[in-house]
Amino acid sequence: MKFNDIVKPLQSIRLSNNEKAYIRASLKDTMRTCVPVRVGLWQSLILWSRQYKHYQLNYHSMPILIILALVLGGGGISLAAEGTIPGDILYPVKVNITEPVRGFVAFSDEAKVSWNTERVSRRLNEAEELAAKKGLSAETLSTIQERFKDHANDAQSRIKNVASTNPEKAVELSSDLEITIKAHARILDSIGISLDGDTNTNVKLLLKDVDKEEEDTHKENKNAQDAILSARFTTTAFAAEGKRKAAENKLAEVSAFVKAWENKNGTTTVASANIRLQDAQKVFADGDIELKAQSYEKAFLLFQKAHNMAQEVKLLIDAKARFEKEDGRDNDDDKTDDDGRDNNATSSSDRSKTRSDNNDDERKKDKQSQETKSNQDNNSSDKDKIDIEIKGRVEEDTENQSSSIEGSGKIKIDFDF
Amino acid sequence: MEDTHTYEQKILDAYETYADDIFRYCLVRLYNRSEAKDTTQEVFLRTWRYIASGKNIENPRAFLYKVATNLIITTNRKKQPISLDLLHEEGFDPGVDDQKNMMMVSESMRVLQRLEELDSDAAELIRLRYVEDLMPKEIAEIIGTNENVISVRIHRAMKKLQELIEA
Repeated sequence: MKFNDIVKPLQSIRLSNNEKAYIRASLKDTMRTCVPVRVGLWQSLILWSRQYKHYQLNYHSMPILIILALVLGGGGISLAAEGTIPGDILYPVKVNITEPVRGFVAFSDEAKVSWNTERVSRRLNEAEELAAKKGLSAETLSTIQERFKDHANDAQSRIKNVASTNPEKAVELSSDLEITIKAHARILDSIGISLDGDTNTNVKLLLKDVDKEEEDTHKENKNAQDAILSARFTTTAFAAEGKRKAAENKLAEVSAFVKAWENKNGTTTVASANIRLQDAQKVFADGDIELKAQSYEKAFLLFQKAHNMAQEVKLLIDAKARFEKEDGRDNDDDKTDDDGRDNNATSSSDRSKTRSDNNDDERKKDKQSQETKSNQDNNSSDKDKIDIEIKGRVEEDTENQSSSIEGSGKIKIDFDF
Repeated sequence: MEDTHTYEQKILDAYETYADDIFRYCLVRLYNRSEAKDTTQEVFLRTWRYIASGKNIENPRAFLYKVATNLIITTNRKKQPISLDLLHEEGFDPGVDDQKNMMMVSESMRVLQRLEELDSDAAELIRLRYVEDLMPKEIAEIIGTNENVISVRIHRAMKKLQELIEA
């Protein structure tokens, strides 16, 4: 053998066509879903705060402005707003300040859709909690309705945008939104039945809007799915395998979750969940068949479906937990199917021990203090993350018309570079 | 989001031009095809993040190689000492369609790896001169010595490689 016999083959090393395409697809996918931040955090806070110049100065806005000034001034501060519902003092901070900041720093369409899905969930959570605790008034209903529709419509139009270049991502995002809305629809349906009068009416009205948004989201989902199946886009093996992995993880996660629930609460409560999970496994297996046959579009959609089915199970069990009585009595097992709704009455109870109680009874007292500790959810679907850990106390002395805020906290904002 | 799209397109263009070169650069230093592919992808991703944060790159080719070099160093630092057996077990599959070429590449890689174990500097010189196709003058600039020293070292490295082949 000669020297050239060694070095010449080394010069001919290259990627195969498949390998090259695979990496290219993977690059594209990452570039489209993680948009790096180009504007510094403080700059974005300042830019956004200019939008709120017109904020009226009055008693209710005072504490908010104090908090704001302290945040921008860089002092340690408590933003105790996160766990609030309409009627709480700091609720306006939540919907007018912290949430817009998070939306502002989500740059890509994809990130904004995920964030708006989160906001949809928050609004409906608030409505449910109000309905269960102190009642959902017509006034509160209309503000929640408006916001909910705004978030949902924003998400839907962005999903449409995403679908024009990346239908796989659009399917994922719209599935997420659809399932979220669906799960809340079931919850709203079941609590409406057990309450009287105004709240019942208002919940029904909200439910109408929720159903409509579910439909609209479903349309976008279907359009994105059709786009995948049409000749215009080719789903790569990479995308199909990635979706397979996601579905596999989700199935494992939800199975474990259901098992833990079963251990705590007994087998009967999870019967239908297990059936649903089995169905999801079957769909997953079908996906594998298509994958082997290299029908990547079909495989992708089947894996997405399996993922959706598992996610639904989790959300419904989550909801069960929220509405369970404190004395440990379980609700009857929900009979759910694809289109049916849960018709068993569920009773409301004091679920969230982490939330402060700020109801009408306490207002009668002269002094009222609210201790909240909340941990912000991470929007884990994007790489933009905001981690807000806050501890705080708001004291309001209604007799003397004064309020004080104290606390500590840290805001850690991570952007993946 | 116009800017974002431009950055994306720039990276994809660079990828079309340089992917094979970067891949080859990585493979002959990592001796592991899937690692080389991962590293190649990471090179372009990091470059994308760099330009997407607003920074400018004057010489794309040089930048890509620089990122690749850093990544290779980091990867090799974490790795255990190179084992020939490992290469063999992996069922080293170049993925090239041509069967004969595949065998030759495979064999060459094994020899290079053995040289690396004996004398890593010699291996690097061989790569820079004969795989990257750099002139001794260019290599001298990169390393920071003069051209003559490099020519002599390259000659020695060639001899070592020859000895390995004949053994």
